[in-house]
Amino acid sequence: MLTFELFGELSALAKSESVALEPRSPPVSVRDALELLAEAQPALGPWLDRCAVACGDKLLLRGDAVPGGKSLALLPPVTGG
Amino acid sequence: MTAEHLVDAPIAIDGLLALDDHPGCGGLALFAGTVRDQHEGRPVLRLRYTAYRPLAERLIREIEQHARDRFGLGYCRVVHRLGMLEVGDVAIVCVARAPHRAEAFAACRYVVDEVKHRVPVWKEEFYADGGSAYVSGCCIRPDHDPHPETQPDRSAP
Repeated sequence: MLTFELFGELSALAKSESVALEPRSPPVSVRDALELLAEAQPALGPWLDRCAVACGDKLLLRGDAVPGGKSLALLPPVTGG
Repeated sequence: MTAEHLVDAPIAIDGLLALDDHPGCGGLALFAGTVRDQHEGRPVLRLRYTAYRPLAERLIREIEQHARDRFGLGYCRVVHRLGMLEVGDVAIVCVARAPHRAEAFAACRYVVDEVKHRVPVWKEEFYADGGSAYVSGCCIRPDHDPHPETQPDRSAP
């Protein structure tokens, strides 16, 4: 199971705060995981290039391995303050 | 106990001033960001702030520490409110205390800018005409290339 938590505009586009996928084979990298997400949720595809990916309190790079058993948080451009 | 930087209730500003401590600090700069009633000419009724808490808390702690080190502060504290806010509500407070006012002012501005540009918080506006929209913001992806067209074409023979 590959789970994404969605924030900001992403949750509005997906009409949900999370998306869970069951890929045939687990993605090796964060980049692979995002490609699977874009296939499953085409509305999110145009946003993903400008989204940061986090797990816990760490930001991940596209080439990083997907942490096993944990969800990935997708963080669109931020607008705090 | 680690103090929270993200709260779901009105921010208690008095408690953030730490006036009973830091006798070596003669300058105190306070910034409070409030919800205004318009954005780019469109009347706004209220805002909703959401956040990815684990990373937001860590980044705000780091921004506070970096400001203390960079500006020689005796004290720095940031609190951001989440949830639904009405016009006039306080969304963010920053307090910076330094020996002198110049560093306190500069640190306060620096900290608020860093929070706005780096911390995973999002603002959704609700308009008088019944619509709503997320405000466009700053990309915090660490490996983002803002100009991919300048990269060499590796597909060329």
